[in-house]
Amino acid sequence: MSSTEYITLYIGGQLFGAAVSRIHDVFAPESITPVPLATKEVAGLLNLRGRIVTAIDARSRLGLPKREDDASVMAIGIEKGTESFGLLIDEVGEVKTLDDGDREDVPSNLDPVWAQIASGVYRLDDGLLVVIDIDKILAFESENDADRGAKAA
Amino acid sequence: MDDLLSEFLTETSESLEVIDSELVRFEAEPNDQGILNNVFRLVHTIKGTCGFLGLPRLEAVAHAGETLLGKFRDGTIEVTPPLVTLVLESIDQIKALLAHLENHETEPEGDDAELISRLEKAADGELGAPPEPVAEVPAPAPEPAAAEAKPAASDKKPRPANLADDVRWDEDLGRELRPGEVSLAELEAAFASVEVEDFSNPPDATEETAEAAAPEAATDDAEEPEAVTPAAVAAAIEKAVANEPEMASNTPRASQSIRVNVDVLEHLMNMVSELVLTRNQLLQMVRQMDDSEFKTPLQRLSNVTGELQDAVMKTRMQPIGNAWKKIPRIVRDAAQDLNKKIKLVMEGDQTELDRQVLELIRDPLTHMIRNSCDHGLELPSDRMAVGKPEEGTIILRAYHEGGHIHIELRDDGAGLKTARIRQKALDNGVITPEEATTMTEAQIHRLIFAPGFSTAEKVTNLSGRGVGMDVVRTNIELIGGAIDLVSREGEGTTFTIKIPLTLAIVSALIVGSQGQRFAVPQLSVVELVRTGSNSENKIESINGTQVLRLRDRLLPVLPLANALKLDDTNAENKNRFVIVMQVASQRFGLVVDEVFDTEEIVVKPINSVLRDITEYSGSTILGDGSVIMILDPNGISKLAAFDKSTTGTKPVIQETRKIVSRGDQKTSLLVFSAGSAEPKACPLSLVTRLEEIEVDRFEMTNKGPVVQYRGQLMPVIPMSGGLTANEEGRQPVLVVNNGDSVVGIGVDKVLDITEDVLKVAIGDTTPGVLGTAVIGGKATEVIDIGHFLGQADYDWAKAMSEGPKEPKSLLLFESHDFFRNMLAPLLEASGYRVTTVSSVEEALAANIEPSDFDVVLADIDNDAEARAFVDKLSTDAEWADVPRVAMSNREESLVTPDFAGCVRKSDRHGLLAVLDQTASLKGQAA
Repeated sequence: MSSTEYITLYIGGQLFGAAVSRIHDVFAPESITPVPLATKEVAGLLNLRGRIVTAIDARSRLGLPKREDDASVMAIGIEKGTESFGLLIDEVGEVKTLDDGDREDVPSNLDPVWAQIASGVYRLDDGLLVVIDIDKILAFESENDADRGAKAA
Repeated sequence: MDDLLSEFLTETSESLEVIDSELVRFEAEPNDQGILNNVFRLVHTIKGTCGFLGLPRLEAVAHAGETLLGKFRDGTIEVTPPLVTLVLESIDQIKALLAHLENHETEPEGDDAELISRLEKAADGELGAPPEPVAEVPAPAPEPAAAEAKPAASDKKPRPANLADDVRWDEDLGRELRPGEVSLAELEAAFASVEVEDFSNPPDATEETAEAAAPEAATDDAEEPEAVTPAAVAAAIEKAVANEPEMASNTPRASQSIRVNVDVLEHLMNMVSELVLTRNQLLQMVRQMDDSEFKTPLQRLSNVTGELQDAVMKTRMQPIGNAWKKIPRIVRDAAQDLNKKIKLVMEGDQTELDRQVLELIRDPLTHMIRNSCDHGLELPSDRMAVGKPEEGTIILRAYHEGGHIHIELRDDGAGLKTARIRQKALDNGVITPEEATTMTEAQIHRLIFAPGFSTAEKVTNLSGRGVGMDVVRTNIELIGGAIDLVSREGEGTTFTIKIPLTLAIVSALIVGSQGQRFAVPQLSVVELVRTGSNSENKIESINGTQVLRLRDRLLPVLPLANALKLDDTNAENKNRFVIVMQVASQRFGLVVDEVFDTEEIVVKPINSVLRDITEYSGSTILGDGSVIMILDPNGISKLAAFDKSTTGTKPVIQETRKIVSRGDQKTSLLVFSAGSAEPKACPLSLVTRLEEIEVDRFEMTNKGPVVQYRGQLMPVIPMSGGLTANEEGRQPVLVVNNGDSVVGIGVDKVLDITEDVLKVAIGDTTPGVLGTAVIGGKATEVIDIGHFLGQADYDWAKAMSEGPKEPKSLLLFESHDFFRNMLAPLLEASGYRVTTVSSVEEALAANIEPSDFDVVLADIDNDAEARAFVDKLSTDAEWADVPRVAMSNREESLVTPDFAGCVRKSDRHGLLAVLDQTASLKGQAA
């Protein structure tokens, strides 16, 4: 049976897993430049070894409360097309290899935003692991889109 | 795609561009053998390569075209415009076939028999001018000659493998085989012998072929019994060969060049950019260390990096002439279509600029050239009539100046018709009648850049479809350029385009606002002004709109913090900087807290999730490694609605308010929707600011929703219904200043700010609604802002009403219906018994008694009536001890001796305070 390697991470106390194949980097973000007028999911831009990376706050993306100022924050680096993203998360765990067959569908009563970014759930001994669909979590309807669309209309 | 095929496509499309412009030149100078030879050679190469790659359809067309060109070269057929058009047509067909080939890798179905037969007929002299007497040798004559020549050639070099091919061509292509056939064999030989080099150096290969062909042709001819014409042909070919060195000196040709994929260059460019950034970082670090051993090597590294950067930049530079290649053809075709005579002069085609920029200006330039041909230049007869030469001139000029490329397009045509543009702009609603009378001629001319503007009376083949100069302007502004024009009626029009040399590296000013840094492209910065209370340059405001006094002129300014919706905590700080910016023809100031430095920055494209924010054009990494956003002056000017031509920009911030003229009873009104789709309105003067607040910033208290706003809590009262139901997005809020506190009123959508006579036509008893009025041609509910203020728990009215223990009675004199309707309920809510009168007559009729009133409140703004009323009161002894309070919005009338107090109409807080104070005065006096 085929299996997938996941890197485990915590966002707002919940355990998540992201496919290792999609993760380029794990780093501690430093000096994020905020971008005024950007949608709330965009935490800002940062310089990762000479590349400009757009930091997306996973908490804000999932509708969770903001991280406290002194709370630790980590980021996972993702390449999407030619663009670089950094997904801001609370904590990085370990790498786990999980059987694809054990993955269960997303429960139907999950919050729609969560359901949208989750591609499955694993029942682990120490809790549930939600598999993040990397493409989905980076694809969000920006408010500005809607805003400007309305203006143009 | 097959490598060979893609090489062929690249090469051929380059050749075709040359052919296009060369043919047009040739038409003008039919005696210039050099040009013709060049064209002939290029077409010939295309034909030959087609045969080699097995592209029969392309080959057939190229061959037929070449045949006709051959006749030109022999001098058997005179060069006439229709014939040149025909050749151009065949070139177009080749282009179409190539385009198909590029997309599908095969030739399209069908054939070009019609075109080929026309070309053949022309070659036979059946079209256009009769053949010259010298060429009397009948056209069919070459046919047998060719037929004989072929076996002769085969005899010489017997190549059985090729023989079948030769025979097929003979059938397909008919008579004029001589030049094609001979050199095909040679061409193949050339391909075989110089397999590698031939693509990198095609002209040489062709030359070889031609040279080789010449003697051979001569030998063939010598064997011919009928040697008169072929001898002439041979002579012509030899002459052509002899001419070739001359040609080479005319046409710039890179002898030492290789083809490099653009992607490789892009990659190289990016790497160098990174290197530059890293060097900057290092330099900054070392600068902070005293006496570092790194200094010398770093200096060397810095120099090398600089040189490397220059060199790599150079690889991206191309002469602007590359973007101009198609222009002679366009002008020629336009002249033919329009029956005009047009001379095109191109200067500075060797001016170099970044290839990316080059690609981007190609289309706008083409469009402008077409416009000049179509709208700019007059018909020859019209030109004669006004004493101009019959032939119109279009001058296209490019030159470097101050790190920019300037492109000038000048025509000596009729110039722009100011009156017609003005009328058209009025008809299209681009400008208002008021503007039409106040705008200068130059401003009116610039209206042609406004969206959806086209004055062409009839739609021609070339232009006049309504998308025009605005698209040109947008395209040019996209690459950080600017376009302007000068026109004189009857004398012509000159367009000037200023574009940066390269998009990759720009010089930028680093500024700070609210502790954040931003980069402003130097291109649009005109000057920097320091403002301060002591400085002669002060920022002042008119009804909340900020302006800067700059050398006796007023410049609209916009704090950057407002533009980016940052909390402006430094608003009170007078010592700030104003960056004076020029965007197109608009000048405005951007207020920032700090100005740091100028830096050469490498523009990085902005991430797609941020791309919709028009305020930024990109981001970059500074020398210290931090990331900053690059502001887009165009986006900011549009946001601030400084740009008149952008309609539909929602004025969200107070700087966009129109200055209110109070002379004729017109009031500035804010039109919005709340609850229902029907528009609602309230006087703009009552609203301090318009805000859009993110819904998640709302916090619930037991007294309703509040928002932390500029360091205080602002209660938000929803108008009709509730706050926006969705949990994301922004909630438009009207912020009403209430003295020390602010109250927000949540509405669905801010629609417009308009100026109209406010006349409540239908009264309304619904709480919060004063009535319905016609605003902007639509029935609109006029909202009683006071009612909503009353709903706020921190309501000023209630807070103040704790003052007077017993209700005081108040006489309100207000001739303006709207204010009367609005003030009365407010005052009553504050604990006054209110009697209203709107005129002296009404006051007399009401038979009011002085003893009944504790205070008189009069609006003295509106008319003489109010004055008369107040005068009457002040002369009447009985009224003498009733204190009077005046309301006015005029600064000067606020000092009035007849009154115990005077307040601004919009200052509710002040009004109530003054009333409270003066009302109790009477008690003391009595």
